Amino acid sequence: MSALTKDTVATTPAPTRSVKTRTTADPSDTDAGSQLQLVTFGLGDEEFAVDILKVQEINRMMALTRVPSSPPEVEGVINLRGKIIPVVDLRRRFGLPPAERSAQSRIVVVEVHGRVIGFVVDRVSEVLRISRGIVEPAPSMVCSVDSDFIEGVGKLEDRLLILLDLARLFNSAQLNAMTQAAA
Amino acid sequence: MNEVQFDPELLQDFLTESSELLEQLDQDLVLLESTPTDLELLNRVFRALHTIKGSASFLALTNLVAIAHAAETALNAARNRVFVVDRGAMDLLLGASDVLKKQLGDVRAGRELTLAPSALVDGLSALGEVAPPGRGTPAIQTDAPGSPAEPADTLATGGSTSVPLSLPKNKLDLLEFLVADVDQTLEQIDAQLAQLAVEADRMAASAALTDLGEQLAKSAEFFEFGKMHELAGCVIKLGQQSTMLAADQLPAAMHLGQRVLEVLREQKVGLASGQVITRPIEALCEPFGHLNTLEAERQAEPEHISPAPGPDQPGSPAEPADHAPGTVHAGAPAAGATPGASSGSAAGAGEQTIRVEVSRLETLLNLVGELVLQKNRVGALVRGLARSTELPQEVREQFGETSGSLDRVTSDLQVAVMKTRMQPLEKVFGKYPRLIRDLARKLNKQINLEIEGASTEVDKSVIEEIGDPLVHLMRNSADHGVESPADRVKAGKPEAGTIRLVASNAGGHVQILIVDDGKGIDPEFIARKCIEKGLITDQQASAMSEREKIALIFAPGFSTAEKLSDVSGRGVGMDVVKTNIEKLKGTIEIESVVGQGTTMRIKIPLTVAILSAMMVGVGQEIYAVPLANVIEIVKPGEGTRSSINQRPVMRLRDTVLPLLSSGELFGLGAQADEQFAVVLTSGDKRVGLMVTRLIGQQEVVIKPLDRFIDKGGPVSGATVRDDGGVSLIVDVQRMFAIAAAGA
Repeated sequence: MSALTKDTVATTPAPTRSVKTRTTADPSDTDAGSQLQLVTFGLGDEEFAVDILKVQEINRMMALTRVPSSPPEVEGVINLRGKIIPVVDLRRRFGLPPAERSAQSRIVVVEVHGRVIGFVVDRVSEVLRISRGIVEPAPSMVCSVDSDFIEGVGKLEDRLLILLDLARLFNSAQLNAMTQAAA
Repeated sequence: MNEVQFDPELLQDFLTESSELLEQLDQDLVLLESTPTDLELLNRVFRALHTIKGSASFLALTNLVAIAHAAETALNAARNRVFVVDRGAMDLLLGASDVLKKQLGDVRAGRELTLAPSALVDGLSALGEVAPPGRGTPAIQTDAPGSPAEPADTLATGGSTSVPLSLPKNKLDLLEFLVADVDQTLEQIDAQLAQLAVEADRMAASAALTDLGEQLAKSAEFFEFGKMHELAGCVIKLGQQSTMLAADQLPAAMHLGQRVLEVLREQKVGLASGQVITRPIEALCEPFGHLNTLEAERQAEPEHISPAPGPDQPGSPAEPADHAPGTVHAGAPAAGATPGASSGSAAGAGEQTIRVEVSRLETLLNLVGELVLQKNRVGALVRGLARSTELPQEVREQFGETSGSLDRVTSDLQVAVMKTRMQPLEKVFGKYPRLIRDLARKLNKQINLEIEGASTEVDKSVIEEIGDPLVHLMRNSADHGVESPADRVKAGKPEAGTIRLVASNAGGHVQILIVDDGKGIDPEFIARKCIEKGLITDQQASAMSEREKIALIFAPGFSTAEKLSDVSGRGVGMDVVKTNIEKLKGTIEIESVVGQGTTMRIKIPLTVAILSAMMVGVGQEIYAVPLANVIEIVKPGEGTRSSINQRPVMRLRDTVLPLLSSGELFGLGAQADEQFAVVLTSGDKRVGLMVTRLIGQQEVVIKPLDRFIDKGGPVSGATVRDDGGVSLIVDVQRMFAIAAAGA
């Protein structure tokens, strides 16, 4: 596995040349429609992935400003080139135990429902191309994450990749519900 | 006609222009009520209606044309002193203005146009009708018809006579259309007359005049109106001969044409109200037979055209001799200036304003906001550089200087861009004379409205938001403040109450005062009402100061009205007013003396995009506190702090100030070294916000918080600091609410 060495992965629809991409599917299966291009990242022992088209950029950790009375999983806000965007602690969103921030910690900035949101992950692994054929619907209790947020599970040769449904993950109604539950 | 799809841009222009004209119209009409004989004002009002009608008829908005036409006719009659504009007439005219506004709304929404109530149209038409006993204006009695020696200053006093128009029924049915037709023809003649002055257009204008004259002659035949036919003949002759005239004869010929036009207009107005108005025109028509023998016109021709010219006038002395051929037409339009012609020449002089889409200005403002942030960062980098010893002194100084000028230029740019969005409060205030007039009529009170400082400018967004709260406050002043004339006399005050609306600049703020000399607000009465409604308890009331009691009128659900009136007092309002003003980051205060009156003081920032803030440090964080809410900053000494009911307070001079820990408020946990108290105010409440550090005053660009983070906490926005970090902006109103809820 090739860990990312760049600070930032700039993502326009095509992957940047600086990022090594890998195709794990059957070489004959090259039809673009059946290919998924994903950014994968890790939280604890598990590996997650999101559609690369949704990702705006990936940044090193930076100072966050906490916002009083905001939902607990919102870690704070950052200045993204003059725009103030919220940053969600994905561990807390998934109910995982908190972990120390390390040099590998990253803020993945995505666009969901026309809103720009960042989330903190333990590490960003790689940009990956897989065939849709190897993605299966999520069985319940496959991992520590609520299956509502899971779009599917990609079965790689040696491991499982959890594809996240960002729209559901950052659905404000659900966030609100969590806020109220926490309050 | 109705099927024609008009260019949406054209329609938009019409809507914009007409809305502006209507706004001005309302103001002018109210002004006219107090000075009904002001001819200048009458003319302005008339022209506004005429312009609206003209554009509307081009767009085939028939219903709109109908009411505009009725109002215009009435005004023209007023202009000709057929009647004097009184209250009743004003109600009708204002009614027409309302209908027009509604119709513009219909056009905007793409709806079928509202039809003007027929009572209104009839009422307006009746105004325009000539009073039966020979138009009893006093001027006529002194002015014998056709006496050429008598200098007459207006057409109406110029010795005309009128008889009712007698036409067969089938023709009378068409009267309205034909009058409109004549009206259009006359306007075109007016325009073409002006064109004569332009050498390049003269040929075309001449031909057009000939055609228009013939068209008019046909209309005159229809009306069986001999005098109009003769005048139409004059227009034809003018058209035929104008290309043969010497340059110095042209102005005189054009002036004659204008005179003919004036008389024609008078005749047209008469026709519109079913009257045939005649005056001697022989002397006027005579020169048209031999225009080429005209001598150049005397320049100092009186502005008002004498309709029955004396024998000496056509052959008036020559223009100044230095008026060389070839240059004459440059000055010519002014000689025969009509409203149409003069506005035409003004446009030619180069437009002083352009219309810009608001969205473009928004973009510009956003970009400047970004630039300010970047400039601040550059400033911070340069300051860091100044301390470093790695660079030579000279280089560091150059960086410093460049950064300094960047700072100035950016600030100037920011101010300049902000100014493009600034508009005078007049845009809002202009509607109030009408409002107060209508209210006074409805309430049977006499109220004078005095407006000062209407030219004070504020940001467009403020203009949009401040209107409604002000209307509400003025209604309250008129309804609850100013007493009835009888009560006022009893109280030893003049019968007419006065409401003053005063705007002024005060630092980065605009202050708006609404001052009435009415009965004032009785704090005890307010307190009693609040106790009755269960808003406060007896105990709370007894602990309140007079100011606090008066401030209760801002409490949600408060109303003093015994019975509901349709003017004010529905129990929703003052709290909404306060909320709206606070949305603009403004404040409102009330002072009142029973029996003497009430003053409402509103303070709003010039703009809502940029905020003057006090930057304060709490732990590792830096917060921006709106400067408008900061009264002072104190450092409480050891002996001054104590607590009441386990809540920290400090003694500040002779008052007790509640203290609020910012560490707790902002969820940072207790901070040991909160040593400064920033004294904040909202309405009549005060609190000392304890902070760790004071950083200083700064202009910050307000950025909204994403809606899923903004959950009504004590902050409602954020800004980017010059070091690139994010500072949250304290929402003082929310802060007070949270503090109160925690109590």
